[in-house]
Amino acid sequence: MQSSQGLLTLLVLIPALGSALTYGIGRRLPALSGFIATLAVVAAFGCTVSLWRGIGVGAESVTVSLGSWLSFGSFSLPLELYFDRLSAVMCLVITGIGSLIHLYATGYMAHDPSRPRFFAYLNLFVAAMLILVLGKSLPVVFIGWEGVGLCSYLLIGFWYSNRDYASAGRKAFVMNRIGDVGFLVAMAILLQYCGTLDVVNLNTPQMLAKLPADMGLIAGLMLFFAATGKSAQLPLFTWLPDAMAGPTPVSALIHAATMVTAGIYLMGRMHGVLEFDPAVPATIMWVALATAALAATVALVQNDIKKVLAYSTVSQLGFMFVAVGAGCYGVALFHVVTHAFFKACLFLSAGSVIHGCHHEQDMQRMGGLAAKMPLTCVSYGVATLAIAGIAPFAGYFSKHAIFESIHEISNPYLTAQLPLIGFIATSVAVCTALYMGRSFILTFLGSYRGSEHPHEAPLVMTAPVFVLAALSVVGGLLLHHSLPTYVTGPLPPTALHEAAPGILGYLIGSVPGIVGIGLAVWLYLIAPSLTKTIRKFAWPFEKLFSGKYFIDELYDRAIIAPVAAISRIVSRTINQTVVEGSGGAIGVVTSAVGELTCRVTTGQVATYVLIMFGAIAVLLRLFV
Amino acid sequence: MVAAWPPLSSVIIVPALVALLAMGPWFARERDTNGRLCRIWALLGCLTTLVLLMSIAGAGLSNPQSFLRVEESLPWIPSWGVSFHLTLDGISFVFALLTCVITFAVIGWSSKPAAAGPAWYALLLLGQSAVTGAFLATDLVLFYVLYELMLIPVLVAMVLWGGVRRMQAALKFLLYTMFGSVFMFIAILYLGWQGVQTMQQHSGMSSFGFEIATLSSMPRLALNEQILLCLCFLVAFGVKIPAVPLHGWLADTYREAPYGMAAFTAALLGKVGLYGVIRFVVPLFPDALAVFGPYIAAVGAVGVVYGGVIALTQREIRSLLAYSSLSHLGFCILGIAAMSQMSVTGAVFQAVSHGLVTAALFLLFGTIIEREGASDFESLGGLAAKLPVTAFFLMIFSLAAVALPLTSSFVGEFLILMGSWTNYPQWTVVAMAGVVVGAVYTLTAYLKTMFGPASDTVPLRRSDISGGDLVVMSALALAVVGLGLIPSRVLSVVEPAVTLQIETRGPSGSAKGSQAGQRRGVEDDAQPSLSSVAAQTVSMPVNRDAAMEYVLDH
Repeated sequence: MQSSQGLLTLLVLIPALGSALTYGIGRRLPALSGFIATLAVVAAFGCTVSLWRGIGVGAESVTVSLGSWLSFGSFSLPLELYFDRLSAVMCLVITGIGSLIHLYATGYMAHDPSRPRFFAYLNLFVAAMLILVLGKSLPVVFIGWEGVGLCSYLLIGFWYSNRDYASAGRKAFVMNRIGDVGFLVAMAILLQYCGTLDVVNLNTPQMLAKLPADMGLIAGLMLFFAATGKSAQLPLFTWLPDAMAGPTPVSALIHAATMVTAGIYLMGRMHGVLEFDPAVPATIMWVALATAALAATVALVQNDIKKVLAYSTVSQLGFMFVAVGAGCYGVALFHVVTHAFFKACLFLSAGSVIHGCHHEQDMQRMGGLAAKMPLTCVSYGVATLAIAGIAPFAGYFSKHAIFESIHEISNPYLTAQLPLIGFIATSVAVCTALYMGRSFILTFLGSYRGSEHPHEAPLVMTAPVFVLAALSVVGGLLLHHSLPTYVTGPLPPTALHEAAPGILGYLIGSVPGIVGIGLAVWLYLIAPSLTKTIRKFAWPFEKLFSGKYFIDELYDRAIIAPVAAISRIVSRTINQTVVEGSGGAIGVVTSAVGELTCRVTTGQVATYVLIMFGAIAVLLRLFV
Repeated sequence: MVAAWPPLSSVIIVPALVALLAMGPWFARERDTNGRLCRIWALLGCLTTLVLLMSIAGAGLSNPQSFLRVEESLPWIPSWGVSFHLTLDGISFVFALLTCVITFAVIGWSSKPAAAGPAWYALLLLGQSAVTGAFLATDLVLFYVLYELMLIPVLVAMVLWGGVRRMQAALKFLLYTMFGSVFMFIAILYLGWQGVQTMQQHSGMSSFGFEIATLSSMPRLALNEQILLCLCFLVAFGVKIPAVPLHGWLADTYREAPYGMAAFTAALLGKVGLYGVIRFVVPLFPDALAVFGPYIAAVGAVGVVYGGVIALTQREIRSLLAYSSLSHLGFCILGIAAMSQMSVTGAVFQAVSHGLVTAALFLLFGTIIEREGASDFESLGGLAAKLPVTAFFLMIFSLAAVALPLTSSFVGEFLILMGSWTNYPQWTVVAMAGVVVGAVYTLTAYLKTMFGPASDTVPLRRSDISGGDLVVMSALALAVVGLGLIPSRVLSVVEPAVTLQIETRGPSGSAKGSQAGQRRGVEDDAQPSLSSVAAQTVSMPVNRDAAMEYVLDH
């Protein structure tokens, strides 16, 4: 028990210290920085594995207190870490996938002069994410919550001499901050009525019984709003596609495998509050479906390989929230895990492509890379099949479980619309396979359209990618029995229906994926001329999709511009004339009084005497 | 009787004495050409004050069972009942400590107005003396005198070494603060006169008394009187903090003052206003505050957003810092208005944190402005690559300014928001929106100065911070991060004083206290709930042996 508490402390401390060490030593020996950082995350992975084995055998959870953080008087808020099955799964993903990405990054960033800074941020990110999933109370979770926001700000704007990149970092931070207001409101409500912010206690029926109906609803909605910031859902998702300004390993680590899953984690952790009012899961369901559909359609027309993956992440996160809305948190977590496998694999493969093509990201200037980068082609292809949901690859199982969970919905607000929900979800699944197939074909098949000399990535980059590719192949098969039920306890039980066994069941379940990929092959490989015909007729849609539904423009016009205008007006009129001008008014009054006094103080005794007698007369009249 | 060395008074006297000696012939320009000796002398003075302060508070701090309370009273103008009455409790201790630290930082910062000699240090030390005095004074007249005195060093420094429009700015600052404090002065006189009346009725004695303990233990004033007097005080403190819409002097003063003095002003002067509200307004006018509470909360929350919105439009660094201060202090005002143990403690903490952060930002940005010869965002940019150390510290303090967790500001804002929610949810939400605006303008300021390609219009003569400046910045950064990591130590010094302050009297205070008690009681039945804490504090004056106390009556 003692040892596991020590391990839990180490788990958070190692990446944090690794960050400091990388920055400190790295400035002298930049070559070492990647090595130290990778070692730190691998060590953290070791800690996680050993902790995870520990809770399997004996205690169900491990708690360690790092001191009294915010405690005074009778208020106590210790800095406590809590490790249970839910955090175990999250930690395994963060440190496991994180190690592979770190290893990859040592190759990817090998020639960047500011590597130490990069790896320090990367390690800090892992530490923050670990605090997020290990925090025992909401404010401790909030430390990690804001911490990953900070690290993504720093990493997206890593190449800060480009002001656009730096602005993208700022956008990520601010959009996340908007979500954080939701987090703060939820904390305030829960503290007021339940008197505690302990994540374990809050979900108990006794605690939830203390919440008034309206406040419980608001708290649930606010928590979800917070999650839409981190997990890039409507209305706050716009930062994620812009976040591709960061180096590709960052995209893989932050914007695919870990940070964006923070919202899902929070939903699972606070499931009691979310389900307090069934309107909250219903809201989550519709927002998730809308986001998934929107992002999938936008991904259809993107030409930047990283943008396709970014929108695909948004769309897949939508799928996870569909499972959350359906109340199957275990399934959502399952999709988090498989998605971490194949999306990290996709991003790192894309990174290899970009690296190999000398920082070319436009798929229209790629093509035919299968011959030049065979290994990357295989890994990208495998991950494409996985995300498309084709059996027996990883994505098939998690996506299938999500479809199953839709059938299980008992939410009174949703039961009537089940067919519609199923239809949207299936369409999005087809779309997913289509845009991923398209990106694979444009990148790897056909003939090369660029002007560079693409080359395969070095072993230090391909090796981690292949581990991820292997996980994308077998991950689902290995985990689909165990994972959704493993987390029952911290999460409500998931009624899991077996996917229809046998080849036939797999085939039926893979239909959306097969249809989508078939479409992609047909449109982009067999009959490319057809796409032109389609464009001729469907141009309004293309405009809408490639304009990203004009949501950024909408925010610019409807929020940013008015706020800027109001602040200018307030600044010019109220602040400069009224408030700052009032200083002038005081001046005028003072000098007027001065003038008056000067007039009265004439120096003529007669005037003074007159005033004196006048004053005496008035006083007498008043008091006598 | 031979007076023992009055320890608390010496905390005020030592800096003033050191300041006077700094003007002596020892540090004249011909002997001390680069002013190094004089700086060391000033730093030593500051350090001595710090040591004195810590040694006085030490006993009270080290004993976890008792709380800090040291009193000292010397006769000053006995015929008017004015005494040199100083009290060091949790609240005044953290503020006095802040004053020491900030003065130390500003004196230690290598760059000062080019024309300034020893007078620069003397003025800062005099300022320290007056501000510390104001934080310790519990006699209203003494407080008023020191409250006005602390303006003088700022104004003198501004007039002597300020920017181009310094005279206008100084005049505006003077007029504003004088305008405010006239009201306070009238209110103080009225309170004293009222004291005479009551005294005569009760004991037949007729003497003025301006001590806060005496005044607040007298029968309560009528509501109308309270409202008028309370308004007088609030206007005075509102100008000083500043609160919207009394902030007209703010941007001009911060822009035109030499930036070291701007750091000193921004970090400390406004805090005296906040301190005044907690120390004097809260116990004196409980009924009026119950009436004003929602309005004060509104002023605070609106100030958060208003300051943030104005900061968005600023193109000049120091104006942006000025309005960001307005925004951050709005949180403190909201916290005090909410009058819960948590929110007021948070307000005190936030005030201290804001002092540290804003002073650091003024010093860093001031140095950048000085070195680059430009202060508008348009002509700056791309400095991160050239000034990595500055960029590092600026990042830390910018993040502290946006209240990232594990910085001191987060603790303050979190406690304020959580504590205010119960009483004023609507204004708390407004203030939360200010959190977003704060992130936008702070990160934009950082982006525009540090990121991007280096602009060519800027002359190339730069040097990063190093040596003594590095020590100063590291100390401030350590304080900010340390307070964010382990705030409990400071919070538990502040909290008993706050509880005593908001629960000494008044239906509003105690009602809210018990409300809060019910709320917290739920949280953890095994632990002593707040109601028992409240009971403990009520019994405190009786059980004064437990509290550390020297009353040096002469």
